[in-house]
Amino acid sequence: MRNKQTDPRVVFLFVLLLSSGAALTRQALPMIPLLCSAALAAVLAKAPFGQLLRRLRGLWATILAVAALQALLSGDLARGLLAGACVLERLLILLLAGALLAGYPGHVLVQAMLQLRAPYQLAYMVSLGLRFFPQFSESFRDSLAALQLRGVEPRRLKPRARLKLYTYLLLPTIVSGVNGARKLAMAMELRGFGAYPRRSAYAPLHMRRGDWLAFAGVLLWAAGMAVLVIFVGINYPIG
Amino acid sequence: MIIEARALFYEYPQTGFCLRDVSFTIAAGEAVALAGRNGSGKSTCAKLLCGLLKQKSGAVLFDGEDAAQWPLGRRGRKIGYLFQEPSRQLFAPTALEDLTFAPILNGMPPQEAGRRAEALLARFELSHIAQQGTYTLSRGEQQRLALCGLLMQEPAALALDEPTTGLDARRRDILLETIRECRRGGTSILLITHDSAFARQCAERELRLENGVLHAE
Repeated sequence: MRNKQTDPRVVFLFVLLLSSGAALTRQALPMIPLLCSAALAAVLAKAPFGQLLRRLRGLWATILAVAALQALLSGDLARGLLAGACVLERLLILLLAGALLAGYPGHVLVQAMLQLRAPYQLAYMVSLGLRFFPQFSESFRDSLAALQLRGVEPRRLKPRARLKLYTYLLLPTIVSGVNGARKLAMAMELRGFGAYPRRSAYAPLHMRRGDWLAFAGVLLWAAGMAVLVIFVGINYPIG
Repeated sequence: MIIEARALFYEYPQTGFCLRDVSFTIAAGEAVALAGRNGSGKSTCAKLLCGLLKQKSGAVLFDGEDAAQWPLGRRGRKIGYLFQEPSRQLFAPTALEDLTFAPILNGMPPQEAGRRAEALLARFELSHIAQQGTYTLSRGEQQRLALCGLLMQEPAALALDEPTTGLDARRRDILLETIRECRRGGTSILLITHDSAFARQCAERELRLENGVLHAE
């Protein structure tokens, strides 16, 4: 049974609008209200944003490098820095949107997608795909550790040898990912997945009063945000 | 090399499972079997020795030196760890390359690495798969190849996690003889296995873990 969390379909709508807004907005300043909204929603929903940040800590250097590259490639430094800020803001918004969904158990998200009329094979594939990411990173970490246990210290190697070393990591990671997916697919088919065109649900979702209010709130927020972003974008075309 | 685990404590944050106050010593050339039910903490204990997990308290000492600050690569040159799932420790496209790449990266001349690899493949009856893809091998072949990979660096100790899984009687005997040979050369062995007959043949001492607590030495 679902607890007092907002219906995931409302969150799906919010995430869709939020990420579309982040993708369409091209300036750093108008992106700020979107970022604030995402952060506020994450706080209100007690989304596991910190956990997500910790999991992605290995990627921060890359994210900052992408932002710095944006800044350098645009020629004008001030404009470049704003472009870099824009990239960072967009990434943060997408991460916060992801964190909002990460607070729900996988089966609830699948159920929400099904009730949004998504084909159930597709809904399950998405949920399983999401579950594969942590497995993939775990497999990469294990392989790196196993590689080091062969007596290799990456920090001591020359850049070329280190590059060669990292190419060795791809093989076990990809193979274990593909093998895992194949085994899972076989196990699911053996349990009758996809045998019938329709399926029943053990715990269907029901919109409650609070969910309808949240739904209306999301629509109002989207309308207000569109006006605000366009207004700021036209009147303060910074970045 | 003498390995000493001193009052090791580790807790898995997700499950809350704890390994508590685990202490034991393995002398040079000694083989010790670590027994216990599934989930009793045997692999956790081996991973702590090898540095794959970091203990919350306690220490792992190699010849009296605390290994807490050692990089994994340095620890790997002292103790080789055979994973329960061998495919995770095979890296190169072919079996021969898998054995030679790490020593070559560490500065061994390629000819010597090749010679040593071929000798190991022959000892484990794997010569016929030298140029075969590592991921096309059977589990037993992968297990033996992963063990060859560890032996390539001639570690002073070996932690073997369920090494008999997937091995037929003949290959099991080869493994037993290899372990005995390693011991004669002074290599210490930590053997994790449910195969009590194999444990008795290999090791003179058995440690038993129950719910993360070491019960008898």
